[in-house]
Amino acid sequence: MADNPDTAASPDPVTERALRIIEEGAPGAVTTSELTGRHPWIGVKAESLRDVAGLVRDHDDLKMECCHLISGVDWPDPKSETGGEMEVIYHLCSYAFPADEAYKQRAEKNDPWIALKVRVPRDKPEVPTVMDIWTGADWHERETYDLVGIRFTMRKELFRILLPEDWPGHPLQKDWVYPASYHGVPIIPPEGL
Amino acid sequence: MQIWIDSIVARTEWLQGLPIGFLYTIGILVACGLILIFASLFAGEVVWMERRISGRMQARIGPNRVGPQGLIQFLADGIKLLSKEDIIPKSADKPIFLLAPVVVFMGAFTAFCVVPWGYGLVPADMNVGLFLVLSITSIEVVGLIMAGWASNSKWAILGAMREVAQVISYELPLGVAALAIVLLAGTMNMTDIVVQQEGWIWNWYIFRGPFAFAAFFIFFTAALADLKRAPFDLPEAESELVAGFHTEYTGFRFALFFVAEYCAMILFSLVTAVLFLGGWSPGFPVDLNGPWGRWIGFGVMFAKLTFLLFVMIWIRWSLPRFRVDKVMYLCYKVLLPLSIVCVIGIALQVLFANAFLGGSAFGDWLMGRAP
Amino acid sequence: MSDGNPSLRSGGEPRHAGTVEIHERQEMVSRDLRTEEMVFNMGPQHPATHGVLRVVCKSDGETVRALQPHVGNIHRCVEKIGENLPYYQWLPYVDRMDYLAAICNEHVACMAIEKLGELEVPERAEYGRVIVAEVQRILSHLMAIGVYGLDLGAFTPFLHQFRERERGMDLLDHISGGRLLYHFVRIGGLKRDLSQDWLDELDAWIDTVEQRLPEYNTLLLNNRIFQERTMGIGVIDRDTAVRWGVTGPGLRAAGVNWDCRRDVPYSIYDRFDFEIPHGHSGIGGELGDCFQRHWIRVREVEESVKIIRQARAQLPEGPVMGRVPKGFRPKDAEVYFRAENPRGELAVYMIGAGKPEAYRIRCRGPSFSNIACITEVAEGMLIADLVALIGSLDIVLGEVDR
Repeated sequence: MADNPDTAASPDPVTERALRIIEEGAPGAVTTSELTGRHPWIGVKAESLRDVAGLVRDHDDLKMECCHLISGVDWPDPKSETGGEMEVIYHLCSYAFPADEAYKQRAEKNDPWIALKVRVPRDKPEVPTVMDIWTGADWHERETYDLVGIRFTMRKELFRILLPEDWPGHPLQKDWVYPASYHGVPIIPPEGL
Repeated sequence: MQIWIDSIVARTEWLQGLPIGFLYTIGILVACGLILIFASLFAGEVVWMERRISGRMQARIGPNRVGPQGLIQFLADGIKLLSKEDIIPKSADKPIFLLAPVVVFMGAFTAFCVVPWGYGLVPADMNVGLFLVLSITSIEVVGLIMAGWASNSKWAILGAMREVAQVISYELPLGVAALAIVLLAGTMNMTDIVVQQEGWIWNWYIFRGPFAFAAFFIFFTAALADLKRAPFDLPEAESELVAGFHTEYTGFRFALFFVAEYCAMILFSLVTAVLFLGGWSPGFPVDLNGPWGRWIGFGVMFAKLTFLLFVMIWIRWSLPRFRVDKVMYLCYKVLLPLSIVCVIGIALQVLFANAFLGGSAFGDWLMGRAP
Repeated sequence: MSDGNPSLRSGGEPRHAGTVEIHERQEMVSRDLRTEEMVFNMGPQHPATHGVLRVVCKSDGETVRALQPHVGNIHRCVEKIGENLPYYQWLPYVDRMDYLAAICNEHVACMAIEKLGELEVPERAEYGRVIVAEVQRILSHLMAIGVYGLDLGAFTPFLHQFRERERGMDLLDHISGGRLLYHFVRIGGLKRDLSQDWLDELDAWIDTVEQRLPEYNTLLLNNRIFQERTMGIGVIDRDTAVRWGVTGPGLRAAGVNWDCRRDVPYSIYDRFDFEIPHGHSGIGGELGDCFQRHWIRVREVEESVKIIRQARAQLPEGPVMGRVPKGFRPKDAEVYFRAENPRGELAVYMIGAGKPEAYRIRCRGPSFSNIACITEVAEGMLIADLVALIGSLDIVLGEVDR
């Protein structure tokens, strides 16, 4: 998308349109949004995530039918009451407008993806699942739970995917400390930690 | 064998005092021993041949270090396998697990007793030779299901299940195609079958009419499936079932399976050569039935055998594997009906020749008699 | 096996529906006989799971009733490492994600980092990157083509492709010093310039690849048994593919005419003229079946050869390393970058925090999403078809587990 620094300042058309559609279809769902820059995104409340997801997937002008990537980010804040926030970022993309000419007319930009961000308090990181909306979200949610520790609710059982079942904690949380040993195997943390 | 012993006894005075039955027994034991040694060694060489040929086909070299051109590679492999740890899985059914390779090995070897390598070069020249070959080789299935079951491994049992289904099914077209030739030959004695094919190349049974020609391909395909050779190697499909029924076998027990497989290959090549390709007949009229000529016949047989083995190897390294239901489809819906058509066709051919062309050279040719 | 099965009737194309019918028959059998389902582990040490994938299958005889893939056996914490190491030190780890397409990974990671830090890359380096990335794509696809033959029981094409792959790996070895993991694409450019000798070697190699490709097709693509094993097997249709996030050849085989190189042009791919092979009914088989996925890989090798030729002709003179500030600290920014790897879309999401190392790095391995869909697709398949399906998805477990 905005590889050219000149256009980086102008709002991203797909995200702009998505924002408009979400505000029409699910009023009050959007918290904040960022339409310019290299990574435009739309902030969504956790409780209305599923409505928004269904909306952007099914709307004819968006057709965000593929959940490309789900990432979890930990933003600890020791001063805050809830210990900071956790963020889930959904990168959605569309394959509905593939043939390049037809697509360009329709979506004005060449990279049809949008990012939804959901922020939840760190002491209760629970986000409703989107697994029934995009089936492929299943493993991504499991991985986010596994590594970042964000729990996804309303879905079938959530269990670890990459790490062993009894692994202590969620390693991508910023305050995670290396365990001294795992099943008797000593763990030497990398230098600088 | 009998002919041979008789001729030796006639020439050797001190043997004439001994009871002839005793001499026959000794002779058969010696012959069986010789065959056992020869077949095992030859199986080893077939392994080498397979590895060299596949190497050539796959743009690599293959074993060439042990002995000239790697010829005694199999001995090195055998020593390696012997020195391996002999593992019996804890949960295996021990007696059956131990017995299975022996049964398989036995099934593959026993049939060699009745297969002629040249005129008179056969341990037991039985008048139901072909029948014995087909039935003895079926014993192998019992050994394989024993191996699969006793291993107590899921891959092994899946492999054994496939094996049983496949081999038992393919016994049918195999047997029926062989039956077509039996109709033509009028005998199951393998020496007699070859004797009737002597003379020019068109006397070979494969060339005696379209049905016999078709029967050859049915027989060979069914034999490939019976031997679990690619493209029918489902029971040991390494990408699906790890190693099939011999997943849990190690060391020498594994070697027994391995050698038995190659022995069965040799055996079926021999039978195919005898039934269809004129056995030791080189394809032109020459008497190879004399005491020295039979060794030339042995050479001819050996050449045909090697050629058939080469074809098997060639097929194996060229084709992907069939799927399990396709294999069954091929058996029951293609090969079996075709083989039955062959039998009926040959029966009609023999009847027709008997009724209308009796006595003429062409009639004899059609009826499968010696010219 | 079953008598009235239309999929087994002569002349009929093998259809996925056939296995459904086998199901019905087997249900009839199990009404009359007491049968049991068997649970078995396919992998992690199984020859056909392409590494350490473990699939727990519940099977009824040869039919898979349900299955659950288990991954994570070679998890190497690429994301965690990315948070602890400076960007340039993280790059070698990216190689190890999809170890059969290391240069493509580096290329994507470098482009993401350059986007984050707003770095310029010299022209010649861009061309060099495209050339090595396409060489890598050919190597990866050759491997996939050959290994697929191995999965279906044809050993020979596997070793034939190794002959070309060997020379291709030598080629990359000569320029980068590594055979499998290269660390050749660096932030801001390339590690080393492409010499004339190397380019000549490259020309000879792509000629050979183009020449030999029909040979592999004789052994596999045009082989009757191969076609029967793959046509109509493991159909991933458009809906399933998009829902599960299947990308790359899997998505294109489903009929989606989509390739990031053309549709989301990154690097300099918009300067080349190449086709995007995608599945259609003219190829044979069904839209989105194993055969079409294989066909697409074969065609993509040809297209990559085309791209290399064009890049070779346009290659400008100049430096291969741009200006990268010492102590590279991208400011507080996010970037999401996706690009076409041989196995699908590799995406990198990165948050910089004004430090030498990233605040968060998230990688989307295409195989991770590709393999997830087998839970749905493989239900009701024969075990042999399951092997064909996993093989045709061409997963690399290093990328699934990262």
